[in-house]
Amino acid sequence: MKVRGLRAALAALVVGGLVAAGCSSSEDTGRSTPDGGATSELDVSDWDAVLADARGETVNWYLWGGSESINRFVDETYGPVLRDRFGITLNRVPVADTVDAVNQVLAEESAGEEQGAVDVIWINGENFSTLADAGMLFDGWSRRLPNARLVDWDNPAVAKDFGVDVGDRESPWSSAQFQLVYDSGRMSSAELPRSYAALLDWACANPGRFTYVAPGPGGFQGTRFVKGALYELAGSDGWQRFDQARWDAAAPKLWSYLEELAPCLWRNGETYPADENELHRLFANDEVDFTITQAAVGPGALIEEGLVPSTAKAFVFDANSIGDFNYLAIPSNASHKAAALVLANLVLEPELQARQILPEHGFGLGYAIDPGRVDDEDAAAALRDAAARLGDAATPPEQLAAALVGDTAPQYQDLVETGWRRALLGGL
Amino acid sequence: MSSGVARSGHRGGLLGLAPVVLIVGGLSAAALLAGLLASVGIQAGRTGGPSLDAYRAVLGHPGFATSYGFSVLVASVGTAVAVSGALLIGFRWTRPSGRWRTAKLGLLQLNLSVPHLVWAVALLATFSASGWVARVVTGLGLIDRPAQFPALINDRWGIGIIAHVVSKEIPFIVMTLLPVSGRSTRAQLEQATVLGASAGDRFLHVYLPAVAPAVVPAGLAVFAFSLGAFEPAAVLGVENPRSLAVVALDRFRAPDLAARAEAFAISTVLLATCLVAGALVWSLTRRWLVRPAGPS
Repeated sequence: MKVRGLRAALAALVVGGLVAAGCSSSEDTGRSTPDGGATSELDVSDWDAVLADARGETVNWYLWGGSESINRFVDETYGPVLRDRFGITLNRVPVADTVDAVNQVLAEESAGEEQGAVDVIWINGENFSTLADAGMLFDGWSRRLPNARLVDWDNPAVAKDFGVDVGDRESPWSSAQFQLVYDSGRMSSAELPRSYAALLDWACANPGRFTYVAPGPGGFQGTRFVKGALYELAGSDGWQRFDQARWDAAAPKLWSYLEELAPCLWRNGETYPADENELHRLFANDEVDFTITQAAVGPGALIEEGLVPSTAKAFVFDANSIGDFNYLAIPSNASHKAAALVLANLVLEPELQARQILPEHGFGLGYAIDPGRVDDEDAAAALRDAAARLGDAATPPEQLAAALVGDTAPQYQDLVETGWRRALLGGL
Repeated sequence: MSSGVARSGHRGGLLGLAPVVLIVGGLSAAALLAGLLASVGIQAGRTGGPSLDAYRAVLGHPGFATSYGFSVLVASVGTAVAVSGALLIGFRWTRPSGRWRTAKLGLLQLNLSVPHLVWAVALLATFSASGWVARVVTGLGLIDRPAQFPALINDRWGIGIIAHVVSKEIPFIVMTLLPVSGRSTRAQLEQATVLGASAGDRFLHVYLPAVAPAVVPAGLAVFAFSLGAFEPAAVLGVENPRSLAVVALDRFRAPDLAARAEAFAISTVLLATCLVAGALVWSLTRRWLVRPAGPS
């Protein structure tokens, strides 16, 4: 819920403020020591030693906490296994936006803190590139995890995160793809718009019945919606490499499309839902006809949670549905690197991957591993079985695959978000 | 109670405050300094000397005036209504009225301990289009579906935020009024009545001067808080115009580290606004605040 996110944001702000207050004296020491200490001697290839090191540790996992069902999935799926099998305590730390965890790490760096509070971050995109650029990521581990052999590292969608080389600095957890959700009790699939152009027609024929999340921190689904429009208007190829001139040429087309759409939107486009949960609420309250999801199961997990009607279903446009992988990264000043490695390896276990996509478990994002690489026959069967049981609410996998495109280079993120606010709302 | 005890207590009090002043003042000063430095680009993860780029970016933004005006207007109106309401309630209640006074005090204190964020969410759950009032009204058949409920919360003019300031801060201001509108003020009010003063005269010339030393700082605190707090504005506001406090947090959380300087520049602008407001209010009310020494 929104409240929870705000509380986490508040906490991050307080922490950030406190750390910022002590920062000015430590500019020099911060950068020189991030790899110091005993943890740098961790040898990932000696997995038994990692497991021995990790026993008894508490792993502090910072992750977006905006979904109750994901929070519960994490606590109930990984918590018991970590405790019973590895003697590790899982401490899930919810943040309103992943950037709050990034800020925590950056603030620690500037304070010269070598024993960081963050052990693992659920991360991708611009947040990964921010920490990578700051040199604050633990390196040399992700492709050497025992389960890394199950990951298709030759797939550029895995090996590059928003166009940035993943290297050995983060390990995938799941995959996500932008989709819209409609209520099959209210409209039939034949009425659905299948492109941004058709969406404009639909919205203006049904004024006030469509809106999207305001792009910005905490509103990444909205950012992705806007980027999809950019792809349709200016071509979807090549956005993985940053090119200011191309952006300058394409942006006016994008804003004029969205400006044309705005008067047909909920509240005439004078305001927008601030996050995904607010959009779900509008959808459930019959104020708008569509909401957004990124899950392989579509709204399946949301239905389980009672957040949207049980007749809700996901669909995609015929093209330009942005999808990507998301990852776990370990800050270079993490206090419990061994336990963090065990967690990153654990989430790739085939049985848990099969569990994570099923709607009844509340997570619902797609596989990070390539099921074809799983030798164990039972595990492979479980993965196939789970993929076949995604439920009616999910978009058919072949449609997802047909519409899939990659996300942009991270530099576009802030251009889209601040540019959108300026062009559409004229606001700060 | 002799006035001698009160005076020596007063003198000892100043010295006794020193630890608090040092700790709170020291922490605040350090935070202020860090914020000011960050606003000119001196902060973690960035190199280079000080620059006013962040201020240029913020003040030069076409949306700045709207956001700034919105923030100041919402804080001013909210504070004005809250202070007026609290003064009227306090003026009525200087007369003791037995058990009812306790009951009324209890009622006033009801939401004092509720955090601002929780109170804001309570307002949202009550008055928004998906709140329970909208559902009751729909159930009564007054509107067809909850979505038709008027936008009282998350509205363009900040009515939701103002309602939050007023409902949350009236109890706070009344609490600061009660100790100063005690026996001696009541005696003066009675005397004024005996001398034939109207209710308006009694309020303006007796009550207001008596409680000014309490209500002016309390009002300023409410103004500064309403201007700077982001939770009520984030929960009850709209995406456009956004209150500056919300923008500041947004810029603080942007992936681009340069945007952080803008967050601190906005905070500095808000701080300057509070200082100006404080100076203005001080100059307008100082005749009530600075009084000749002597036993009351």
